[in-house]
Amino acid sequence: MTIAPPDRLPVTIAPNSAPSPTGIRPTPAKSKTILVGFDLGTNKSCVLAGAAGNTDIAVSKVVPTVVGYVKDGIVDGIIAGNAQILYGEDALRNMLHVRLVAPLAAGVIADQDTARDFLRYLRTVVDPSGTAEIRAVIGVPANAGPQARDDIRHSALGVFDRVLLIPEPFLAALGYREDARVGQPNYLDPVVNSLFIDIGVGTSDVCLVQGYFPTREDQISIPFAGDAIDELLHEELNRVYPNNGLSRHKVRELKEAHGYVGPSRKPLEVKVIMGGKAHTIELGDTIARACNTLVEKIYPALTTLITRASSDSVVSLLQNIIVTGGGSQLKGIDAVLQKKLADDGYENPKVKLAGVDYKRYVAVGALKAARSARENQWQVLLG
Amino acid sequence: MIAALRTPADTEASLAQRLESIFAAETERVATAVVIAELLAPMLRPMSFSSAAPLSPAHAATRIVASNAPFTHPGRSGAADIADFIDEMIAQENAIDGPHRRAS
Repeated sequence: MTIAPPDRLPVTIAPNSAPSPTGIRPTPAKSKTILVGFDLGTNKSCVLAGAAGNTDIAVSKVVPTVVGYVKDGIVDGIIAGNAQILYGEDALRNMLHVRLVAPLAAGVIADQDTARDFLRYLRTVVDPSGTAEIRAVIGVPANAGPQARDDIRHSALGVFDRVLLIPEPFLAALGYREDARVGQPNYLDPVVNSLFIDIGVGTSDVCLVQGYFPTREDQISIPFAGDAIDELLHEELNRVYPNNGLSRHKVRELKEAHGYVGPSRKPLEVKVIMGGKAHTIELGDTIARACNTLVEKIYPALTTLITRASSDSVVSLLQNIIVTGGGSQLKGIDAVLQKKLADDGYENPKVKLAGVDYKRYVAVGALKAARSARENQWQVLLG
Repeated sequence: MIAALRTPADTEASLAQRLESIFAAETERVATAVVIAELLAPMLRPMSFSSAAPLSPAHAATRIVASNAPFTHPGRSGAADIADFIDEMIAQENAIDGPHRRAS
């Protein structure tokens, strides 16, 4: 008997099994199979998809993770197609006319129904015909517990035919790996030996990847990331410029445009609108204080994982430290971490940024996993 | 039983044919029942709601995770494909949550 939480239907998970000897298959026939790699992010989600047995990527999309439910009383014609639910950019564009709901918070599902609506929308993006079998590898935060995973499965029930949940740091390493260079003498394969620092919205995850699937000991999740920096920056701005009226959204924009770590850079003058009037404010120290806190939080986790690597592997490992996620866009974060390691005596450390494609690496890794997963590794969700 | 099935009009050939079709229908019926049982068996087995699937361990403490070290990695010497990594993930999660949590 499946034991279900009191207020929702049970989801039974069965491993995908080979057909019975009689050849009877319980699932309805689908016209084709589409494989999906899915990074379900708190702010933005990335979905890549392609037909099974094909290496082409037919769909590649980054979508703001937000759903807009059209408010009552909106006049016909205001919303394109008189849609009742909008997603992603459409929802944000029409924010005055919709109730915006973010299905995720801190990387995990916060609103089940909205998450399901969002996944249904992404399914239509991947398979407009609605006739394909959809198999999705979904990245989950390194610290996602059983409840968080079950929430994803509940939301995926009836949307995807098969799912596989894999921690994001490993998927990032898989996605970052240049498959064409694997085996070349000078190529440091991130799946074989690397440290990934994924600075997201709710958490910063540090993961040691050394040729086997990372264990609990190989992953450290720090509850300080983009949102926490925004909070600190907001507090600092309110302290330095009282009654500034700047929203959290505006503060985040300031961080994304001017955020940096390291010694204070002054003057850093920025024009903002306060109370309808333009003001020029100096942000150098304010931003430095907020962003440098991130380095203080991440660095101990980084050195902890370095000490877990074997002496045979650690010298190469130190050459392959990769920063990804939105936090990788903070100016100087690679140089500051590298300098700290060098100053502390680590042998020739090299910290790299994942680059402009950082938003896609988890989804790329997820699609690679989808293409490689064996039949019996996929999970069938039964409601 | 076979004698009971025989009708006055039956020849050996027609009786054999009818028996064959009865056996084929029963075989199909049993096979269908087996499939249904395979699907339903997990529901009949006591397991928690969050069972069955591979689950990564809960990092409930949001500070630096303490090491429990229940799983030792296999120390792969050669190249592995991605499916092998997924197998390791499933094995880790079974080691932590127990194999009874998987539907099978």
